[in-house]
Amino acid sequence: MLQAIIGGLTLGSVYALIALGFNLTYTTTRTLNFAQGDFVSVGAFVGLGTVGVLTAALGADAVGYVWLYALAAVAAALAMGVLGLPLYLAAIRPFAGKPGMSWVVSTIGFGIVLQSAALSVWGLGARMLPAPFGDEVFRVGEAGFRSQELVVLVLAFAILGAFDLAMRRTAIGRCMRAVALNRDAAALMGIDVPRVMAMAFLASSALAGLSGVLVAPILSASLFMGVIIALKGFSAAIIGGLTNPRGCMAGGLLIGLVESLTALWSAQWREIMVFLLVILVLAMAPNGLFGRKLVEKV
Amino acid sequence: MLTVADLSVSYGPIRALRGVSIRVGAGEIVALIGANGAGKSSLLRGITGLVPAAGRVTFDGRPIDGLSTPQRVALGVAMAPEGRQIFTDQTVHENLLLGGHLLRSQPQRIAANIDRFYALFPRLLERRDQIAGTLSGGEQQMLAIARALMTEPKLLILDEPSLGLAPIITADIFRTLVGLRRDGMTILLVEQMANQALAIADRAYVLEGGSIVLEGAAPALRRDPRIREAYLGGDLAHHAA
Repeated sequence: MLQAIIGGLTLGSVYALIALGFNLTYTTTRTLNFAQGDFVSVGAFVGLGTVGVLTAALGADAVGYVWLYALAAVAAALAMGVLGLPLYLAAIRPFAGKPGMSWVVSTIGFGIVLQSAALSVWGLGARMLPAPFGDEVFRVGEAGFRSQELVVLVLAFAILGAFDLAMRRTAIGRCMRAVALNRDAAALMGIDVPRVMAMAFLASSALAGLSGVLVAPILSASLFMGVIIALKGFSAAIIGGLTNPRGCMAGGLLIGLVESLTALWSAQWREIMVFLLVILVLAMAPNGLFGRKLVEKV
Repeated sequence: MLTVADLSVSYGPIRALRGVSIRVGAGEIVALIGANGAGKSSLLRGITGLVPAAGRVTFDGRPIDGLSTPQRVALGVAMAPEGRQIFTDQTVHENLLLGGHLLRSQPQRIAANIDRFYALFPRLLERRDQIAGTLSGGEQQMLAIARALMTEPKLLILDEPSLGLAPIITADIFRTLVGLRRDGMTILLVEQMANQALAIADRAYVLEGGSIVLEGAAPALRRDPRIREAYLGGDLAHHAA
């Protein structure tokens, strides 16, 4: 039971990171990056590549693997974050603020291009990114969990907390919230709205890339692993409320818990329960548990 | 200070503004009067760059029609928009800080400005840490004006500051505007409450169906029978009596 809760919170915190990414782009641009899953997968492989290149360049034991892993996480976040900018310019900017949903296709298309490019570099196969603190199983009473689960939990919560604080306490956070609420009023404050939107995509893509490196040691990394993670992250955002960053985080944890507690009983029912939950929540609260309706001014 | 020449704004097939020309001189209060849908807000949105517009907008002798809204704000054009549009999910103080966005490299200057506007609107100081959405209509309007002033404008544009406010509070706001002008601010004021706007304005334009139909000195327009009939109703007669 405890084991399932820890496992659920671990995956849930990753869904929460992805959901937060959806929240960032949705509130600032009213669009979503449906290539998010590909950013997760490719982020994981950028992490793998970074570890490989550094090991080859420095020798196997020059620095501890913990540091290599940390560098890989930073590299993945940076690389995916930077890739978020062309995504914004090519797939979002031409369509943001206009009626229609062209951005759905354009972001999916961007994801396909990204995935295809990655496939041509890394191929179809799944790979294992070793966990920074090894694969030993710790026992607490009946429960056993892996070090990586704690790494993911601690890091994800730290990042979620830092984001929450930044949105509330920093000038950039104030600007983001201003743009999210009212773009025209934000522009009248002298805020460069397109730049804030680009930053939202940068942050959201960086979160996806980082998530990829975080989960790669738990699941095995393939270029197809991101899709389901992003889908759960999206579900988390829908359940918690796309407009509410804390709601998105809560939604992620909830989905992770439901998934892993259901698996105690029947592994096949995991996904079914998750999406039943989505349908149930939407039936009762169409804007999610903590969301509100955004009125789009034309 | 501001010259608008032949400005047109269209929303799809609908032409909201048809070749409007106005001028606002330094230190003036200019009122823009018109019924709902006459194109007042479109004109203001064209001037501030919030909607694409055809025509020329010159500010301080410099063409600004090719600039983005933030660039125009940086040159000194500020607007308290229609319906106030304050950031309702942030505190009063945070709203004012957002107004200081362009001066963010000079925190002391922002702090000094905030103190100045708390002195101008003591109610805002009382509500400093309150979420702006919980303010009364009048307080929200004060915040919208203070927030616009935080950008250190040369020209302050106000879109229907009296909207939804009790007459006594509107009078209060208008007194503040007169005070701002005394200190050198140039003001472009859009109002449906024509009488009060004309009372504090130097000059005025009347907008109808997207075009200027009348312009002149405010006192003269106030006496103009066409204005009295169309925009003042019995209101002016009542006040004059």
